[in-house]
Amino acid sequence: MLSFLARHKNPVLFGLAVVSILLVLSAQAGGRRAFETIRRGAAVLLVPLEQGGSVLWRAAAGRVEEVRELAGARRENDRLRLEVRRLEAELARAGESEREAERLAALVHLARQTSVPTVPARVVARHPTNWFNAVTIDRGEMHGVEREAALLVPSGVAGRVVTVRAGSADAILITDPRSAIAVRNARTRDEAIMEGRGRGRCRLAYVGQGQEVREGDLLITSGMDEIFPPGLPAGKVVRVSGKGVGLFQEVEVEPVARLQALDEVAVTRREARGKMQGEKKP
Amino acid sequence: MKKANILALFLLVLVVQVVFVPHVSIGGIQPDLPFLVAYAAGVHWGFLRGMAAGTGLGLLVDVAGGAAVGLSAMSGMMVGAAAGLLGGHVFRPTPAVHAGGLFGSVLLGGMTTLVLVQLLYSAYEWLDGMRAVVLPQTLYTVAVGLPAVLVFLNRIEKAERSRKTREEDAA
Repeated sequence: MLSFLARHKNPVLFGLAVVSILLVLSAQAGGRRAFETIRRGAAVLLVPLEQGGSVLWRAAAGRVEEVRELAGARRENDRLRLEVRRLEAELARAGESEREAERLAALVHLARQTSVPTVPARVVARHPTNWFNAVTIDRGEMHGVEREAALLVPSGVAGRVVTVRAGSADAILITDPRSAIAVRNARTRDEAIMEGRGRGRCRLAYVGQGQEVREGDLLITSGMDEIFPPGLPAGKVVRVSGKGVGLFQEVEVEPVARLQALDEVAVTRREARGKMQGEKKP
Repeated sequence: MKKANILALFLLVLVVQVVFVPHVSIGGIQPDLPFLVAYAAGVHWGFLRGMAAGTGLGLLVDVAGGAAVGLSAMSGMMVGAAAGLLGGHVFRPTPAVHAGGLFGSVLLGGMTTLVLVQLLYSAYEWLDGMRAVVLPQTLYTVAVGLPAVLVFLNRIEKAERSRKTREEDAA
């Protein structure tokens, strides 16, 4: 037996590793949350590294922009070269600040519009693989963020928080395969569930053959999930198929928010949940 | 490599993957750096160490990413193991062999993830997942990673050769 193991060490260890990982995965099947302590422990180390990397990236991007502006300035006439260089660099910095201020102002406006208390947060990291659409934000429990808080952007809803730590949180975007939100067709008022499909796409689940859905229909949050405030744009129907075939229609949806370019988001604070629940009571 | 250096390399790869790599994504697809490290480890250090490197980096990705723990570990392990088999059977791999090996390993890693994502989350149909994620991810990773892997392996081999020469001279 031992000689067999010694002779076939590689396949045996490979098999053991595969079985072990499958056991670990099966412990999490059906959306069961496990290994939270390990995740929290790792986050203590990883999130500061991610935040540091994010700051470095922003600084480097700013420098590149400055260099680009400076290269443009060199083409100006000689007399004005130095002056233009300085002004262009300043303009680049000011432009970036202005764009950031505009985005933040839009978030503040959104908070006023939705009338639910929110906290602004910055996206510091994205999910490391191509299979999930998730982000890490730099706001957590100490800022009033809790699990199932909604991530909002000026154009609509972006996602929801799934893990909260003291100063940061992980959130899945509405396109993530684990995401499902309650929506309503703005034209027909029909309610539905909008599920993430990965790769920047969503679909409407369980749309019966009797329901009328057209390409271009706007979907807004219904508030029935008690996560997202009602009436916010969530997606637009881009394709309807399977009419008259089977029980349900196939409805493909494109999110309204530009999720590939998320920099800042508004996160609903824990008071918001109570407020939304209060509004629903008769 | 010392254990502390390996851990530092793993953390660096992870931070680069979550912070910088999303900015160079094309059509939402980004290259997979952990796969590259697993491949390099497998080719250079052999089957078991490649497997261990892929599993370790994958676990780190799983813990950092918030998806099921074991998902990326399994695919990373497959990449490391496939690269280890290649390294063990090809005496002197040329760049063309590395291109094929890297493509095959990353493809295997992507397909493993696709199967697990289907089982765990009922997401992605097979053809759709292959067309929309696995193949573009593989091509992008190979295009970006092949030169880096070749340089990395070359440098390690040079460093080991010079270390051997020093040891022989000392002896």
